[in-house]
Amino acid sequence: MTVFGQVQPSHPWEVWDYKTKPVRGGYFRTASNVDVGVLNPNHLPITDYDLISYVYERLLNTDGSFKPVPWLAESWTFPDQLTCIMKLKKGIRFSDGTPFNAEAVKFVEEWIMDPKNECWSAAWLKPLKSIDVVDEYTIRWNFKEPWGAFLGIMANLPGFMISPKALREDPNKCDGYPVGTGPYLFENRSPGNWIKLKRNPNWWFGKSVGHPDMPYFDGILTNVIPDPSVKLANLRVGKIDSMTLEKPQYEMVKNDPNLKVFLTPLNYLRGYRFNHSRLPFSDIRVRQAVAYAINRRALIAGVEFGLGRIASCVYPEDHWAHNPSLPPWPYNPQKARELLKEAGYAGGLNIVGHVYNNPQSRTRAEAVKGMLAEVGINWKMDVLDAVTIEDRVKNLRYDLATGDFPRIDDPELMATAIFHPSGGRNWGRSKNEAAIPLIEKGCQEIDMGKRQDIYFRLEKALYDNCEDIWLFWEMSPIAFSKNIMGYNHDMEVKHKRVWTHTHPLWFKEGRP
Amino acid sequence: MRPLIPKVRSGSLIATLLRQRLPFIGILIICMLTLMAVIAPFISSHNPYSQDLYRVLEKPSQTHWLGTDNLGRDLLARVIYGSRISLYAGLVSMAISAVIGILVGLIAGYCGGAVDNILMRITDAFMCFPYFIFVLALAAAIGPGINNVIISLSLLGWTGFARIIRGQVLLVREMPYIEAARAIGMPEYKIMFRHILPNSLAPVIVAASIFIGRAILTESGTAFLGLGAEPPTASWGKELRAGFTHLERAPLFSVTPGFMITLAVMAFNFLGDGLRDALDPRLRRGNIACEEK
Amino acid sequence: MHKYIAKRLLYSLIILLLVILIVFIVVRLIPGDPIRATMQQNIDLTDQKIVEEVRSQYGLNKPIHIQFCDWLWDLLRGNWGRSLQTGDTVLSMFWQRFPITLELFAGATFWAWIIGFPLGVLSALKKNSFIDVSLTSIALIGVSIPSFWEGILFIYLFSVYFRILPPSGFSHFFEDPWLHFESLIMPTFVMGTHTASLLGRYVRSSLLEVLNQDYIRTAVAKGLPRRVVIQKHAGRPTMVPVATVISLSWGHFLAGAFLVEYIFAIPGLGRMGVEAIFARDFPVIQATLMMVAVNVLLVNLAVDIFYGFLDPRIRLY
Repeated sequence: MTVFGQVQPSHPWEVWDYKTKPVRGGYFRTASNVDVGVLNPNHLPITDYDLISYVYERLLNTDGSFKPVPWLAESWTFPDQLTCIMKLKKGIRFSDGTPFNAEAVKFVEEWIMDPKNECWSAAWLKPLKSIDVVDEYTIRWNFKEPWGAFLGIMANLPGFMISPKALREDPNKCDGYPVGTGPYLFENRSPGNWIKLKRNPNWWFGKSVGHPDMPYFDGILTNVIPDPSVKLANLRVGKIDSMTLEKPQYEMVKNDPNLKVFLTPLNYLRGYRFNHSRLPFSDIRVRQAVAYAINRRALIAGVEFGLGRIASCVYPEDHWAHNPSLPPWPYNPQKARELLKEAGYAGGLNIVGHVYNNPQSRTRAEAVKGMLAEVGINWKMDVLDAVTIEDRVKNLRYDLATGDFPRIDDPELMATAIFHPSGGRNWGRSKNEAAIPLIEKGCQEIDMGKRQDIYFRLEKALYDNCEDIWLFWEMSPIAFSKNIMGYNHDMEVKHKRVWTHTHPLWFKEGRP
Repeated sequence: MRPLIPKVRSGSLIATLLRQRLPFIGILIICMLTLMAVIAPFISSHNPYSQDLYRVLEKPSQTHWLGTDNLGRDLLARVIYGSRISLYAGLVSMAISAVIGILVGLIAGYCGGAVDNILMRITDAFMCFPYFIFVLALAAAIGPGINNVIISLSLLGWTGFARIIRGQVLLVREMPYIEAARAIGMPEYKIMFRHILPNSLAPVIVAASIFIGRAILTESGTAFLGLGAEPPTASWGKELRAGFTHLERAPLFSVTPGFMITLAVMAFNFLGDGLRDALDPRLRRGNIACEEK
Repeated sequence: MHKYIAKRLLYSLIILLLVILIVFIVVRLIPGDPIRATMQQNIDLTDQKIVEEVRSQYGLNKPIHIQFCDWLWDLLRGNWGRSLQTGDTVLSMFWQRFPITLELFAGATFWAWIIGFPLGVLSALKKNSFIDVSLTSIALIGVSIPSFWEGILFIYLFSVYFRILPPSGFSHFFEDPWLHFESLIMPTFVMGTHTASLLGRYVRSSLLEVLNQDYIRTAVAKGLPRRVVIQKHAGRPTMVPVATVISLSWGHFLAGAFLVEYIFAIPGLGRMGVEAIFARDFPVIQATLMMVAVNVLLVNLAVDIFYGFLDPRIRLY
């Protein structure tokens, strides 16, 4: 095992022991369900985070347990509860030549916070008071209150660094023509049809670890193909090089000799939420009855084709905030019936709710509906679009409804949004007296160890109160054509984003 | 010289229809489908709602003649029960559309003048919208559920009937017996409903038959997009949609409902065709320039 | 004649106003707040101020009659709004997709002719024979098959098993002409079979009607060979209603095109409309319904005037 480059491997992912030498060349062709939308991560809508990550980079990245690690920011200290001194990496330039430095970071964050720029990500920066430039590569962040999620946020949307020159000149142009520090540059696009990125020959990272050839592809071409069967057909005939499979497709292609298929765990929770503000789910016994009535194992086997990890509580098992001592809720329909009888619903119970309108959600909800029917609960489940759902959630017109949460990075975001009365998805539907102070403490605790302890206790509080139904944490099958090299599945699972970003793939012979 | 509008006598009509091959097949299929829908609980050996998550997407077997669907339910039972939704949607939307359309067309054709003008402009305005997109927008506006889809289908479907009836009424009202009825002092509405309407129904019957076929097709299209009957109700369009993702693994899952939709629509089209041939006097006359077998 | 054209134009104007009213009402019936929903999907908002600012940008705060007048005024000026989903102007989206849908229509009409016309003629000439019955059945089946079902079956047959055609997608003619046509074969064929069946039936009944006419009988009695009679005397009158069918089928096509465009991943108008409906993208929904209805209106107007030229009796209506 040889280790290239000048950087001493201080992190386990900084290892590039390729068995064959990477070959430059070729456009990597992928497919997405919808058009990528707007290309400024601070404006709506964003439909493709992967694409954004090719062009822009963040101040911090995340490792295998979703803890923030250095990226564009090199190191940081917290001299007191309300300040953070951050040192940035030197020698990085945006693709339009602007240097990446403290001034740039200050400009971008202030641009986001300025209300006239209509950035929705501004809400995430609420605790930020001001930013001072200490010297060219050092920044001082000043907070209004202790901000525990600060690093997590800088590893997320507001941490994406956009060229200040581009923002100054024409902020609207950035929506269509992104300028960042990432491995790829925007080349061209046909709205609704495809988008092309081309290789950034001056990507700083490759050079800094002694692999100036990175990224190896000449570019990336993302086609818009809404139908998954058509996407798969394209992959099989070689018109695209990789795709995220639908779960039913996994069985079909996992033994295909022309494809390499892998299962990736995702930080995505699938479940259902209760409306605690009214009967019947203000009664904990009824909530527990629903939890006992659902056979999670059968659900994953039949509906998810085995692709899912049974959830115990909210944070996935590989997340640092996950409390390992909580077991998944057991399946016990008999107990469910007893609890219902105790609560006074021996003759049956009618509840209403909604789920999103896509095939997998519908099927899952149908299966759960059948399970609830077995214990005497009739769940009138409406399949609706996002807008109508939003309306119902806001007005608390549901009992049991869709409760997924994608992209769980910093634990604070999800905790506040769902379980805190001021949260964007709460609207007063739940009020767990034990959990709320823990959430507030977690917002403000800067020490990682103490934070972890707080979130462990939070999970316990939610679990004990049977706060919601947590079904499973997602797994996603991806498939590559067989001439895509450089993908190490074990490392990817272990280190996730930071590994993927530092280990670009290549074509075996430099072309598709 | 325009031929007399034939009065529809049911006995001779049915006899004429049954003599033709295609309409006969059409009627046969419709009868079988209707029977299937009505006695569904008695002919399906499984409950279409009982799911078995450990036995999803199975191949046909002794217990499940067509295999199972994506929740482990018996596919044959779901296809049989699915006929209920499709036929229900087709028939009810046709009935509502016909009632609205006939009223509008009757009034427009009989009253003439400004009333006719206004009503026809409104009809034209609605006819400018392609069926499917408008039904989709409406169904999205008024919410999910099969009844709402039927309402959407009817809100646009009446236009065809209105047009047809109006055309017929324009012809019939010039007939001498109408003038005679007026002369003896018969009230207008009686003339409208007792004399004009029955004599104008011939093309409406044709249109009705074809409308049912189109309604079934549109309903399956909207079900394909997720609107329509709520789960766990079985509907051909929904099964077709669910079956797509599993086409390779369980082809019967989508082939069967697709086939049933095609069969039902085809039957109504055969019937409509036959009705048109039977009721249109001009085509019944012999042709010298054509070969006859 | 002029009176006829003027009357037609007046009617079309009235219809246009009614169409605009219908579109506005239907779109306003759709419940929910699209801005909030789109934002909620991507970030958990606790700041009402930001939501209100974005809403005011789209003018969703003003009372409804003001919104209607604003919208009408904007329409006339060519400002058709911006998509809530992508931020592009609706007009530019329309211009990008309209030619594609038009091309699909042209291709479908091509197939419709190649298949439908001979089918119709043959079954008319051999009326009531076995050939007639079987061709009519085939035509009726073509009309009855759900286009989305047909589409997917074709993709699996020709792209996955036989591998002779690309499964989906769309390349512009200027990028790769061969691929452009290849990728259009299946979708146009699927749409074409539908129109072909309609066309075949129409040709059949039209030809039968013409052949029934007295002047045909005279020609045959004169001793002309049958083929000459059909080609020379029956040919042209048959085509007139057929031309109408083709132009009027544009309206139906727009609707059916969505499902085919969806399956084959073609970025056309139909797909744009339906995706907008699901995403509650109001500006796009409004504009699509308008454009589609106005399209049909214009085509009908043209056909009416054309008929007015051809057949003086029509002008009495």
